Amino acid sequence: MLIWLTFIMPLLALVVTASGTPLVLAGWISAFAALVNVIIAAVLAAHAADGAPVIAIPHWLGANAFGALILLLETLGALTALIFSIGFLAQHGAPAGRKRRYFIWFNLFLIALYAVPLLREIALVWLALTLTTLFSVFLVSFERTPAALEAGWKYALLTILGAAIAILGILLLYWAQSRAGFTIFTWGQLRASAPKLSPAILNIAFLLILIGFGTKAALIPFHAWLPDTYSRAPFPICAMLSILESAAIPYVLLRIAAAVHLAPGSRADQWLILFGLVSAGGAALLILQTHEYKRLFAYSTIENAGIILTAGAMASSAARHAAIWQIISHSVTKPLVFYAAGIMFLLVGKLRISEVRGVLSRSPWIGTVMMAAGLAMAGAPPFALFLSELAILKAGLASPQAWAAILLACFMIISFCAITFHLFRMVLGKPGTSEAAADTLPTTIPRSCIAALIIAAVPVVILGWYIPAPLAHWLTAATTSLGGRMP
Amino acid sequence: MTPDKIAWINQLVLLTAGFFLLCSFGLIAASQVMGCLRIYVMQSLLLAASAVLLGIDYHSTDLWIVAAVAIIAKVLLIPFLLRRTARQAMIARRELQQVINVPMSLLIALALTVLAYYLVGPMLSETTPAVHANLPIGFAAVLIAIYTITVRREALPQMLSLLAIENGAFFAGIAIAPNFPLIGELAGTFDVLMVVLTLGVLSTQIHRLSGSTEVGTLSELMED
Repeated sequence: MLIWLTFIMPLLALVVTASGTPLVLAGWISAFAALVNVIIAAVLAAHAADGAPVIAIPHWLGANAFGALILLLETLGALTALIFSIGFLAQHGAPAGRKRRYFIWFNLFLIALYAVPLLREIALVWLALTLTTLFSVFLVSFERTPAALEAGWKYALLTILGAAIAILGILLLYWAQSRAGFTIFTWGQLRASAPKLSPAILNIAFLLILIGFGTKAALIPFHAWLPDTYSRAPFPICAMLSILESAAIPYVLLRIAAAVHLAPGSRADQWLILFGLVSAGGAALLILQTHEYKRLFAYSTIENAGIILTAGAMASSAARHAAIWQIISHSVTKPLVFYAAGIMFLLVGKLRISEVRGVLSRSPWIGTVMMAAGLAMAGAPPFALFLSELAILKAGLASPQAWAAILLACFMIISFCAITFHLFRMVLGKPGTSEAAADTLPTTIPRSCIAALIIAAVPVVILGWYIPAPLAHWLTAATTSLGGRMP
Repeated sequence: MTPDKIAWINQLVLLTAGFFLLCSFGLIAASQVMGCLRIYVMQSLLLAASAVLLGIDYHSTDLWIVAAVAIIAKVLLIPFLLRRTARQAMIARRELQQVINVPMSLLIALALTVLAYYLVGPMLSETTPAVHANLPIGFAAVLIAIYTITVRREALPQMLSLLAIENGAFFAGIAIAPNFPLIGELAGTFDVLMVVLTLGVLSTQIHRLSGSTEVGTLSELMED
């Protein structure tokens, strides 16, 4: 029942929005629906962590500990993104009809996004992931400028291209299973059948799935769509896409890998580590040379996805534990960064890093918030990512893949330096004459944007000190569901 | 079924696969949008034909449903939807731009076909003749369609190549996973329809704003 409610809430919000309710009210109802979903997801996570998965329809719909945790992160992101959107749309000059469609598409996107961790049939997980693309295309191109439409086109074309490659991999996976005499294609069956499957098919299948979903997660070198999409999409959409890329997709890939690697001769883990390291390293270098702060944050998302995949594939359950921890801390941190940047954008009206100077002296509180959020993203203490990155390095160095952990440490240091370098230039620095002239921009920040910022900041700060006991329990259960044991 | 009949059906499966691959080449060579669409429809028909033949071969009624769904969705609905959402771009009678000229592209497609056979080779031990026909050709169709996307510069041909990738994947799929749950095939078809709707509308918006659907010339967002 709870699982059904997860889909009913955004559906209700969608109907309310479409039926002509005043826009602000529709936005708050959508946000309220997301809040209900946060509570549902927490209850689901608590149930699933106690042992058996919560099942709505056998073989089709249900949540295990890992899935429920991902759902919780998605709903939390949706809550703040919707609240931020209310203020963002209020000060935006778009026609009312387009603003209304924004909330409609947003709720459709949420239904697809929530379905990813809840579906148990792998082909349907694939469908849900593709639908997240299709429902977010018009959110990405919301501005309706040629550049925004171009961004939407590239985003749709390349991620659907990835999906088409992934479905070939999934079909091969089915083939391998049916040749071994298995007829049900759920997560559980995949795990049960994996040791009996032909490694020749399995390896190609996994590679295709990794490339396909990797394109959707913008893993390097399949990230061509990402810079444009992020620089044109509205800030709350960037936050949601980040959660999709660094929580939902790593969830799918890690879960497939956790089953596939049981097959003798499987290379799933090596490939995950390879792609993960290339993405983490490549993204760190891209962060160094980027010119726009939204792209900077986008590259940081790729870097984190790479770190998560690398750590998740290491032959150590402590590393898997740390990888899921990293999923949690990144999914709470990245929205905060985009909201802070969104508020900073309202102040400065510029996207290029070189055109943003001296934010702190123009608005002390926005400067401070941007600085804190940026440092949290870079992985500085006392914020959430610091602890989880430390845990990854510690577990990684003790695992057989210590070399990968050493490389990860280097990439983390490069990206830390690059992010803080760009950040300091934007926040500190001296505002030039052109920046002073630009102060005619409206600097009243909508209250809902500030509310979203505050709500998003709470978990980042708390998780920077410790993991609350229930969450620690859920995290352990999620790790166990991947087949790892706590050390 | 008599062995004669089985051999005969297998011959037909092979023939269909050959024509299917030919359509992939055609999609590279077509010089007008309508031509691309016709070839795509033809390829979808061949997909349906292959599903019917394999349905007889494997005694699977699911595959007959797959064939019916493919005909309804891809042969009838998609051309209809495209004419509705992107009318202007569809009927424009002009040469399509390509980054690499057609003969060179066809050679590359040939190389991709060989690559597909090479990749699939290790998987083909102890399999039916139908798998031998459809799996490598499905793979080849996917690779060629990916290549086609990269050389096409206009929105609709890019989108049709995208749909051709899906065709290729399911062409391989019907042979290797005949008892693949029907819901999977339906999901794929639903997805294809959504893609056509979304991208059709998007390309119309691009057309309206910039007066052309040459997405290849859109380069405002290059990282400098």
